[in-house]
Amino acid sequence: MAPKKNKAPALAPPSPVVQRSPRSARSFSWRVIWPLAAVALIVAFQPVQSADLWWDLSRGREVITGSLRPSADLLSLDAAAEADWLGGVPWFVAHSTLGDHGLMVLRVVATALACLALAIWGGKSNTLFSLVLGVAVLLCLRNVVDPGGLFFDTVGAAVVFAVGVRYARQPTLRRLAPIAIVILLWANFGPRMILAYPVLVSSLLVSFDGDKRHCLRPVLLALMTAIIAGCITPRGLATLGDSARIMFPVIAAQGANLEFSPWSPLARGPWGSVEAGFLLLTFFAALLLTRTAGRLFFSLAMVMLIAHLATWTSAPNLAPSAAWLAMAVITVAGKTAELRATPRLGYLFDSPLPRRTDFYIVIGAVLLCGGALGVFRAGGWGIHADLDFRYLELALGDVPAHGTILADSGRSAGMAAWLRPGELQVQDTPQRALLGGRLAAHQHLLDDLRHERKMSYHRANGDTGGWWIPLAKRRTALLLIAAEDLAMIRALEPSLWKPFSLDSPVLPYASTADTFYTARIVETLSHANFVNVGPWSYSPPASTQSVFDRDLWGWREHAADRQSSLRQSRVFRAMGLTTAALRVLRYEQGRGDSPELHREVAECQANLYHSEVVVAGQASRFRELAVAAMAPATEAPPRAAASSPPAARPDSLAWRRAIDAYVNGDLPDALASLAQGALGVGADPEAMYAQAWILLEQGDPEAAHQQLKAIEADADKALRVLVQDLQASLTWDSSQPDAGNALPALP
Amino acid sequence: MRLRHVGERERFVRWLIFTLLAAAAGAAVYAMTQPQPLEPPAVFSPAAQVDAHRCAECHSTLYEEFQKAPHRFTLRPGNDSELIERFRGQSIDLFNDTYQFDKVQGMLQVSAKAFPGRRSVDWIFGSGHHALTPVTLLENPRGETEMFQFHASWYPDHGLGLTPGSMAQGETASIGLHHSATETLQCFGCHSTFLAVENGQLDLNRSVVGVTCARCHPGAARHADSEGELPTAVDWKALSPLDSINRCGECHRRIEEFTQDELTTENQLLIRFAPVGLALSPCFQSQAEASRSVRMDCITCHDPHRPAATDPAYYAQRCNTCHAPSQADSTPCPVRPQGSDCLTCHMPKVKTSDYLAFTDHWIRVREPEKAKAFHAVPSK
Repeated sequence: MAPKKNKAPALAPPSPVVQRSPRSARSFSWRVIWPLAAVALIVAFQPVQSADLWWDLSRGREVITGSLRPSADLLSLDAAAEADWLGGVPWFVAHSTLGDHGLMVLRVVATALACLALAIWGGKSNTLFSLVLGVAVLLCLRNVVDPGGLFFDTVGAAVVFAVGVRYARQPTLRRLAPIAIVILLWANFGPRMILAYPVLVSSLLVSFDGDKRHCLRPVLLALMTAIIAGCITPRGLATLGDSARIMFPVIAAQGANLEFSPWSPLARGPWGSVEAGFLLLTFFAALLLTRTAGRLFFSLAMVMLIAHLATWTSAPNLAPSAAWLAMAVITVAGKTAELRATPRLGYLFDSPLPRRTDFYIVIGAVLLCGGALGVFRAGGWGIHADLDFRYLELALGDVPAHGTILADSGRSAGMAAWLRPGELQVQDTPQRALLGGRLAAHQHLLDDLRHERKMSYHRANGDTGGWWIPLAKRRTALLLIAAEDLAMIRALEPSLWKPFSLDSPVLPYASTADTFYTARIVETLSHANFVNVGPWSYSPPASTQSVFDRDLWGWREHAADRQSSLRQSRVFRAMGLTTAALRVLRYEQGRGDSPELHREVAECQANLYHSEVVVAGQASRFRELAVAAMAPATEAPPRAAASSPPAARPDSLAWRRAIDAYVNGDLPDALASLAQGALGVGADPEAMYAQAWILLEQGDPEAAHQQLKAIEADADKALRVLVQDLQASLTWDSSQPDAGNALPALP
Repeated sequence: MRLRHVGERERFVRWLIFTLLAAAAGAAVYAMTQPQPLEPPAVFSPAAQVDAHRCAECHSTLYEEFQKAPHRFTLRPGNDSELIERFRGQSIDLFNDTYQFDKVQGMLQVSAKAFPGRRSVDWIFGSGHHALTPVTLLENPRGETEMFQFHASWYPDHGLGLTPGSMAQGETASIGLHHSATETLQCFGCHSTFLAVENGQLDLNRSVVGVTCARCHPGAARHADSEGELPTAVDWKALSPLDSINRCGECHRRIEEFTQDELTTENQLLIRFAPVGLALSPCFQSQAEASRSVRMDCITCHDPHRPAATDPAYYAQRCNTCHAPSQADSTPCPVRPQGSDCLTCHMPKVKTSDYLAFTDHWIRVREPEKAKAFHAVPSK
């Protein structure tokens, strides 16, 4: 029976929601379950990409082998116990038992269980509200079902709420025990246990059905039990403080910059499907709030405010906050007798789903949003390529471990700890540094490396900076730097720290004074020179059919996608291997140009232009024309010295065609245009220089060398110097393979 | 608006409270998520800066003396008329080319066949006591400031000569030695009190060039703002000798930044870095063991507010504070006890290039065999 439409329901008591037909009340609605299952499939089949994956597995391995302080045993700067010491154990056990695929199996199972729970609830209510809420919750869980502490925090929040509701309905000691057990487990497995207390309080407030005058005692009893249970960890009472610091890192920041840390504010971005799900969840929670009054209103409002406070302050708090908010919304929505009638929202909350319309709308919306947010493109089975430790393993080889490792992130630290347990000792991780009050020092050290501040200097606050002395005091033998940190890679280039891998997601650096790594460094330098000026052309790494390869279960020949190639190009460019970077980009241009690709090519041209100005006081005509043709795409157009010529324009059709072809990646056409003789009688040295560069980019340095020899005598002084400089650089190790991937191949 | 019904009033109050709480939460989020940049080097911190004229209000004598100190003139713009006169009209043959300095429209400019047109001299490093090195600035593709250090510098005893670091052989078309963005910041950083930098781009118009008060006296801003009530952040008298020379060593280099292999008497590079040499000196290292209160650091012999003394007798007098035969536990020089020229033997000027000579601050017996022959009193 549809509700009466009253324009001004004055003091009308909360009316029950629309009465469903007996049939829909008894059975599950497949119109809710199927869309949720579809979303769950999309969420589940994303590669494992938790940055701390290997770190958590390493901690789990330490505990299984008898350690009570896994992080302290793995880190040289950490000696403290940790509350969530068991956090890595389940993942390590799963990995040991089921292998790498086991992590994906866990992911799928966890998503399926969450979907099942939502489907059971949503199927019973069979409303648009329940369907969309379920979708929103599943989206929020996308990053949670990876191995890591967030999983326990999210599950803990949901379960604590559920047992709290159960206790509120009948506050007995028997129902108090699960609260204690869940919180005890949460404290020993997850880092954000402090969230359990507001979750518990809110669950009691929402669900308490008895006399309000007698609710204080059970609530206090539950809280005391929860506090005691939460402190039963190796950290004892300090568990609360540690957990609060992880939830609200600003408490422990002490001069650190959280904006670029793992706990950056949500507004810092980037935003994707997870954040969209959270906003959707919030929207529906707000709509539900309009139907509530009294205790329900304030309970739900409190949950919304605290959940948002936690999430906007630190983005990783999103998932446990979403779980808490969702549980509150579901519980409040279930209190149909207490909800106010809101006719305008009746369709949303009260009407059963029609057979087709909403079903198709939701499915269509999910598919559209998913596609726009790149969910399908990022999908797959296995482990994300950014976590591929095999390159690092190949680089390290069998070099005896000594000294310690400065790892810039949890990902880097985890890889090192996982690869050579007991041998490679990492100095610190961001999370342990935060808890130990060392995060500012960690960030300052990395910042000094990034700005080449080797020697000691004084900061405005009186502290001393510079990386030389701290690294020496820590007996640093290796640096592990994320391949995305281009500023760091660029800064290390002129330093005594040299890489011994060119294509690892985490690049290892060793000191040139360290004889243990000398051979590795020399070999890598040889590789670097070869990919830059040798007879080498780029092709993406072949698939090894491992869990790290996105090869569509072996259907694709190559493992990498365009983003991997772009990352490789950027790393090459940061290392000063601009020609190598262009070689990578030319391959991708051959598969189809894009604005992002165009921008990368423009950056390379700007770099080469600048190099020529540095060497010869001015750039070649070829480079000037190339940069001018691409100028709108560069972020910072290069400026030569003040007296250099203004931006050039091609003065002939042949040059224009050549430059157009060149910037668009059609190197053969560019060569042909330059060679046509349309440039004038006789050989134009500038054109010949351009041809030499194009031949080099094509991977034919021998032909480039011959071309350069022919122009040496005719060029003006600046061009002559450029030619000499380029010729001098055209030396490479002839023992390298002629073509294909000159970089060490994965087994 | 009149809320006629109790229900509406309750609903209004409810939503009002929620809105207020939401606003409070939003304010809390805003406060907690404000960017907290990492503490920058003091030379990049505008808050730490103070105009030297403010220091002069209370420290007028020191301020007046400092007007002649070399530290104050260690970086000057290329249109400084006094400096232009030193370079103008001069030329030098380098790299099979002739580098010519001329004054053009009030600016010093350099020309050579190596590069087209002229290059302006944007800044000149050095007080002129040892050398003046002109530089020109440019931007890299990321918009960061880089510089070329011209191949020719001016030396007081020689005029134009090759700049240290520039290679004398071969052919080059470059206008000078190229320095990356970070190197450029470091160069300017040691020759300035404050550098205004944004995204790697130097704004020298807003910078305070030359080494002035706040560079060596951090906390001078709050000291001036409080009209002397608050002290500066560093009490030089309270520093240990090693900390004291390391403070100078921030620019003049520190011993801990060198490996043991580099700390040898054969390493001529050390001669330029006075704090390093001093830290290696036996008399510096053994000052803590002296039976009476003695102190040896840079300030023992040098007042940074004034030009360095040039009279050898002054320095001998400083040496004899500890080494005079009248001192009970001193080790007098067996060659010239209580002499007036200790520096010639123990801290000579050493040529580090054709045009530059620095006093070697590694105070030591430079010819041990001779010293053994004359050694009469065992050292303690």
